[in-house]
Amino acid sequence: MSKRSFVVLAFAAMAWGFLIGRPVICPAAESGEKINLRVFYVGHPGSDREKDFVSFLEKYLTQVGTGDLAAFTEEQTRDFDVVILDYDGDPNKAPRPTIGPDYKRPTMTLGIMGGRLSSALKLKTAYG
Amino acid sequence: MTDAAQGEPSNHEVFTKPFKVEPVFEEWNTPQSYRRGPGGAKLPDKLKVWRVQNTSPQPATRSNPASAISRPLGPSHLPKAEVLTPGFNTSNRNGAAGAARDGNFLQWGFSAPPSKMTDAGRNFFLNCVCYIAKVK
Repeated sequence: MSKRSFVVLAFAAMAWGFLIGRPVICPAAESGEKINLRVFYVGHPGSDREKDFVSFLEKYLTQVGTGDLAAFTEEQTRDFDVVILDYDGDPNKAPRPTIGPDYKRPTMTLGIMGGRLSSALKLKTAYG
Repeated sequence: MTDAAQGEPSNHEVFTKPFKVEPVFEEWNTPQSYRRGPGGAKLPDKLKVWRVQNTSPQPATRSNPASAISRPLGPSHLPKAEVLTPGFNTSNRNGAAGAARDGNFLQWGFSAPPSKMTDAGRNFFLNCVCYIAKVK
């Protein structure tokens, strides 16, 4: 490895250390305990897809809240560790939540709706 | 993107913590869209994939319109952004991301709800939830 490559890798590792600053909060799977996470699933209320995700997440996580993507606000995420933004049906008809540049909550975006949201936020995870 | 992630999972923690992701590998025909990209002519006729979800019974020959593929990312994007797995797709380049992260956002490009995910897909999804929870 060249000296320059080593310096680049060392810098990346240091920066990653600053980014990941919180203790690991997911226990080993074999413990059988629920994962100590509060997850906020924001999607299409009453849909089969919402029920599918929520019933699954509740099996593994200590707390699962639900929200409506059409009414999403950053303030709603305050008491959760992770936010999941999702929608079913025609992605062209999916609500497009407003998320500001200072939003820092760990968030998963799903499927084509998530890809388009990533594009709107100018993320590297943008669609296409 | 289709139902599948492409290639062997990396040693990234999203494949090991807290649940071990154990893919069932298949070999699918190399998409024509890959041939148009850099190095496409040298790709083998078939590529190793593993299903994250089951929305099509046969090896997919076209992408699922409800899923999304993201652009390929390289080491220069670390630590801010990273590809967690390439997605097997029929409309984009080889190496485009099926799941990727940029800062505190993790884009899961697959479309199916958990009841239609494979066991490997469900574990991968849960691990992604745990992983992004640590990013501030």
